[in-house]
Amino acid sequence: MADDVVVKRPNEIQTYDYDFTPKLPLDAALSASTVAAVDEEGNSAAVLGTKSVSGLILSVPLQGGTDQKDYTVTMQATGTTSADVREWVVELRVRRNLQGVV
Amino acid sequence: MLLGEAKDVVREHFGRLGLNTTILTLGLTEGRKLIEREGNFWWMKGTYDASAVINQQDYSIQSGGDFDIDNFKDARALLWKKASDVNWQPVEVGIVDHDELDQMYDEDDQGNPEFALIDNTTLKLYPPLPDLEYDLRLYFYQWTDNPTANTDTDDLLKNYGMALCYGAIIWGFEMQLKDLQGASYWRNLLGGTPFGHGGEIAKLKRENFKRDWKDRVMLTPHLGAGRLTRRSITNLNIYCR
Repeated sequence: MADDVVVKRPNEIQTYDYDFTPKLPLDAALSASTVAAVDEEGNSAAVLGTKSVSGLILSVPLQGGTDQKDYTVTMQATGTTSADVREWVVELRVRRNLQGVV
Repeated sequence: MLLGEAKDVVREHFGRLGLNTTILTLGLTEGRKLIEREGNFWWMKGTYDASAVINQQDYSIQSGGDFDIDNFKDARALLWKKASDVNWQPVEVGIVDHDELDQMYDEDDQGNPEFALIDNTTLKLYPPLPDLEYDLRLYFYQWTDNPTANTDTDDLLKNYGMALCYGAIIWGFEMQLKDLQGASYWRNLLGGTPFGHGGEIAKLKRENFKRDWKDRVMLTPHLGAGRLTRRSITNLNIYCR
């Protein structure tokens, strides 16, 4: 189950930021992080740009994707001090003709 | 309609965030079940070839079984032939009850299959002991799944997509919103009142009947010379006087 939903058009590139402060309250930085995307069949999907980290904020550009497909983007971060591993899951819906407030 | 479009249609009725995708997928699965419970439809048809084993009466119908069929629902017909033959012969399947067949045949009766019945997930042949490794061909209906990819479709979604959407919306109204009155509105659109006699399901049944007309219904003269041409295959007979 996703923590957030993003709807974008196929040609858009939209940088998504998540601040892990609520999930890693004892940490000031991330010692490791990964971002991965799969489509609704569980196949790896090329809808991500290059991630970046600033403090506890993990950022990744959401790009490309096939119209009508839903992608699950899992952002994983490890706290430097606590060594806790926490995740934030985004459902990326790529729609050319369905826009507006979700 | 693509699966992704069906998902969006359903989402619009719950708010785009109101129904998470895992639950939505379950809703669409239940929607398909709701439709398929109402009949044996054309997209559910399949065939499977197997072989009889000498002196073996029972054959399992399940994934990995003698008839390796997932989600078996109902048998349409069963045929047999010798391995060296080229023409198939009919076996009466599901016409006679288990206890009657047990009375009709001795336990050590041998021969080619004449009758068959399906008991839970087991196909039983009569006479009970096949004397050769006959080829068997089972025509069946099975429960089907929605496509997994949003960009895929199938016969139900492509031509009767709203039926699936209505089914999922009914499930959502009942399970998610606990709104039985709202669900009954969508239920009426899917199946009419009484359920199954109207709406999209009635359209599906009409199409199903049209497709089956050619190979399932036989016009049989009840009187006169034509009477002699009556065939022994149990079928839907319409007698013309």
